[in-house]
Amino acid sequence: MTVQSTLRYQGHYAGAVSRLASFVIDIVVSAGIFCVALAAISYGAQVITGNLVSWNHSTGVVAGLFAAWELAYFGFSWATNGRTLGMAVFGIRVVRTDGAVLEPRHATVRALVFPFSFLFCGLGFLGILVQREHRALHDLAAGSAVIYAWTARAPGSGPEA
Amino acid sequence: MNSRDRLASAGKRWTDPAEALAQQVTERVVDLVVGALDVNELVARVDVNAIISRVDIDAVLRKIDLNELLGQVDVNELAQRIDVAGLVEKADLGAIIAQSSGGMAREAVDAVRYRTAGLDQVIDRWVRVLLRRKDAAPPPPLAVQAGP
Repeated sequence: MTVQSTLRYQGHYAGAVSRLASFVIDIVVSAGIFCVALAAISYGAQVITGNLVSWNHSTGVVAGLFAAWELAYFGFSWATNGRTLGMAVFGIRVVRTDGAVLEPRHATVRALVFPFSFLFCGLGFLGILVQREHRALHDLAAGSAVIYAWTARAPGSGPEA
Repeated sequence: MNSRDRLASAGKRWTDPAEALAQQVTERVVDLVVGALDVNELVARVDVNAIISRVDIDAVLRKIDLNELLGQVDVNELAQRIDVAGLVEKADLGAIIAQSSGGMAREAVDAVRYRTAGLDQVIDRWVRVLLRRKDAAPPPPLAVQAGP
């Protein structure tokens, strides 16, 4: 693999495998952080009160907190960097449909609509496969697209995209 | 003492001073000659390159028994003289290892990205065949084409 061989992907719309793989990394990382945070809160409450504190998963509080956390994780990452941790690993980035940097309000819309893409067996994600620009439901709603944004570099040649 | 001995004794009385005189004259002459010589000028006139060009280096090297020469070298003692700690300190091995491992990690990430993008293209081709889509893939967004 050479720098030239990666250049043909540069800026083009990212496909299903890259996006799915980056999503898996994001879910694993964000869920891991969430679990650690829950455990830390439980431990802190236990130290302060002296009683055993545990989360009741049946009330939906934990599910609600998790949904809010995921919204914050994805929304904040897209708004600040145009990419999440998983997207950074696979060298893809969220941009506006014209290629401009994603603004925070578009990132927020994208994060809010993102869960709806899972409805009806993930019908909203079908656009990644069949739409010409590989745009899912949340991309169409936010006016965004996901592109390849990395260039292979020789070791020690500076930061990469 | 016979006549022969008396003759030898008389001869010796003449030859000894003559020999001493000749010795003194010779030493004086040599001193004068050496004093008169300009050694620097003499050396300057010598064509060292011409002398060296006449030397057959190959023949000289052939005569040298390198195995015997190396056999006389105490490698262990030589190794003990090397300041390995100083060399390591000067070489900044930490930076070298960090740079090397960083480069390897970057290459590994690039390879994963490249393969994943390749799989994206494969799936995209299948979908295009299934949908009987004839048109070419869309170009990158305008702002991306223009660059940062």
